[in-house]
Amino acid sequence: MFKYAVKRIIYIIPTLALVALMVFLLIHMIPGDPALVILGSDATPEEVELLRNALGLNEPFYKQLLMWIGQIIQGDLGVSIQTDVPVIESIMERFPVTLMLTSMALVFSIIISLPSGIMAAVRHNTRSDYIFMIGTIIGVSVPGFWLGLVALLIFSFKLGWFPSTGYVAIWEDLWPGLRYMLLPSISLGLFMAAVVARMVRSSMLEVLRLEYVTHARAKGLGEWKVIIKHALKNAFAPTLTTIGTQYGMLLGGAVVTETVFSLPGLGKYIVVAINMRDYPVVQGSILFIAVVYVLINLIVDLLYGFFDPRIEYQ
Amino acid sequence: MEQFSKSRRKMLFILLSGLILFFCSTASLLAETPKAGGEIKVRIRTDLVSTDPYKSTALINANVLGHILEPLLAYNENLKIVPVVAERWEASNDYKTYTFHLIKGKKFHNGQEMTAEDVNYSIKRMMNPETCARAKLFDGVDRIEVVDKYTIKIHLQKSAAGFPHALAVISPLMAILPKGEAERQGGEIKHPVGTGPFKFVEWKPDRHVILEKFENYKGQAGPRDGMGGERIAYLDKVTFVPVPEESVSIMSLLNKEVDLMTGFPPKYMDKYRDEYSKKGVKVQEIPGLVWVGVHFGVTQPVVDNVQFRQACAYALDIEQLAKAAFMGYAEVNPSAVAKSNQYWTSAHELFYKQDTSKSKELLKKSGYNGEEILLTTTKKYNYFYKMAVAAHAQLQAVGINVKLNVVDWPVLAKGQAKGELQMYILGASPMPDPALAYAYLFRNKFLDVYPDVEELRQQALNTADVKARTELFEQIHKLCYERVPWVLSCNYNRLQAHWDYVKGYQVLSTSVPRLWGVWLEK
Repeated sequence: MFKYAVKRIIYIIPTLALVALMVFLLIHMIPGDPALVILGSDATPEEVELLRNALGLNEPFYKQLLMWIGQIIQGDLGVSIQTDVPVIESIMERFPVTLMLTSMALVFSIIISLPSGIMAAVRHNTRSDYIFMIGTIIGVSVPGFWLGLVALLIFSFKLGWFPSTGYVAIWEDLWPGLRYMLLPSISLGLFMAAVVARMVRSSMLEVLRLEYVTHARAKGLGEWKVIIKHALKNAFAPTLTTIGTQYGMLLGGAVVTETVFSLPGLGKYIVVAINMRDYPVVQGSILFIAVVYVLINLIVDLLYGFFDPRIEYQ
Repeated sequence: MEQFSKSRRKMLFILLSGLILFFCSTASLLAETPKAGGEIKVRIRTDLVSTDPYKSTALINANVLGHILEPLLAYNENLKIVPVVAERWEASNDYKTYTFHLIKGKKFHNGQEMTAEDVNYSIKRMMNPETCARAKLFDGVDRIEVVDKYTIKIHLQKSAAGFPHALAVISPLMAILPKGEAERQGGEIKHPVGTGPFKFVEWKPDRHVILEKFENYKGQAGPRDGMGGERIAYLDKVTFVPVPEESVSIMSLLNKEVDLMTGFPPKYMDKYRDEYSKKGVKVQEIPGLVWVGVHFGVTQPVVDNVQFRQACAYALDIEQLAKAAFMGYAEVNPSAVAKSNQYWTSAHELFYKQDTSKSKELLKKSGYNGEEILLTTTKKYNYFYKMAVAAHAQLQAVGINVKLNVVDWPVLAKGQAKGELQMYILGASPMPDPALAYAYLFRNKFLDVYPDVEELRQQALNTADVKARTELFEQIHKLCYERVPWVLSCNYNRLQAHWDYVKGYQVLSTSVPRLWGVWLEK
């Protein structure tokens, strides 16, 4: 297993190098000039040229790329063109917000998806299964921003249970922090809950048909013991993969949720940076998210063996 | 006896009326007596870009930092230039030397007294293109002379009557900083220290900017007048909260999570009248200085033909464009000079009234042959897009093959700055001086084709006399009317909403939220 982990970590390097290259190319290919965004469209051409020179934007494209790669190797993600603040500093300030948001969304989605998926599989082709299917279809179809706005309208504006704007970190003040995070994480996690629940249902249906489950029942084990201890453990491995990939989706979805709920997270930071053509911020932040995503997938892969002993790491 | 009781009743009536009047006036006086203390939360649409005042031209910076930092000069309500940290100022007869006499005993938030050395240091930072986004405005400065502790002279290379506008420009804020402050903070202002009525506490990006009352404030005397006059801070604390989503910001206002909202969307005005006003929300409205309209890249194919542009002008109904973009919350104005500006006269009303037959006739004369014309717009500012859709329909109605090209803001800004766009929708930050506003508008390569207009603009820059400047701006407008570099539609209204317990607040045409002189009646 250790060898496998080391091998996987080594594989991460070319993946991230490719991501870095892609991000650099994509952001530089989008038309628009960061110097003009800083100076305003009423800046004179001379002012724009001066700033472009100062920011190194007039350097040949390959030189800018090499400079950036050189910086990354040294662990430096550069400095924001707009604010002059080191990108890594801003990421460290904002990532905890996104991490908390996505983690709470993950917990919420697991709490919803596991029992409902199991229930739907056990009561296959009954009314509750059909209701479950309709619910999950709605869950995967509703756009995140719409759900966020409706949630705000009902729970914040009409009922007054939650604030509509502002933010307090949970580690600064627990209860107010939770009040600020609950609505965004539920509206972010609903999509994932629907996807994971469908996966749990189909995996459980498959496993429940296998002979060893019949055997367990024949041994006289209680139904819930058979379902939880014997069926779920084996059905969980594909669900875990889904959770891993869906967590990446949560990081992407956080961009919208953070904008709707005015949360000071990494997603909102990236959106603003894209609009401002703040190249170092966009490049650095996306690379950082890619690192997180790759690491989560590595953890998921390593956890596989725990849930499915048939898997061998080579 | 009857007569006596009649006169007694009369007396009693007068006495009672007097008493009622007295109590009413005393009550209203008491109600309008400012109360010190409390915290106001203000919704801003976007977060601060930088805490360095000269670094970015983003208006939001000036809006927030304008409470902490103060410039030498600023605009009053009539857009005339008035002193702020200067007690008074004068220009030499040839407009080559400007002398500023500073307010004595004015303190920075760090306790240090503001002197001419600080002004000298600040202007040098404004002149440096590495530290100021509008350093070009100070190109004409020859040298700065510190006369004494409270007097400073700015010598220009050549006479420039319009130079004070460079010091009063709204964005970036040309603020006075303590000497050496940027160097003390590592080369850039991260914790702004100024002389304003509020001092900086903290900026947590995308969360809030917090300011608190500066107890040792000393400023101008006289009534509050635009950015001039007295600046009394009644509030203990000001928190600016960035809320980008329109609907969420309305909810936060109605939930009283914010007390004041800048940028109230026109589409909520009906709801305001029917519902919000009954709850105690007030919306203030004033015609702004930002013009929005259809612009032509006058060197681009097809659009380089003046008859074609005139045909477009006849095809467009600027009133309808204003309605489409701002639902009527705008002042229709075909001129770059706003109606509230001291330089506006009826000569600026001269423009094309929509006439589709004349438009078609001119199209024929121009030799237009159905070539595709790109009308570029962005959704970053929703009203740009709405105006583009309306203009698209009106142009198509006369047979112009126009195609809508929706891009994001940096693409539109770059295309405009380089004169690469055929037709586009544009507006800009408020510019009270028409000479500076025209400079911005002429970026569509207009001057490459008609350099004579620049001569008039330069004359306006070098003229201090209001009457002479007014005439020059009238001439520029007439030339623009003939040559049609743009079809300006309107100056849109500034709408700002607040709860009725927010007292003393007044929306300004420059849109800068001004929180001195404001108190809470809670």
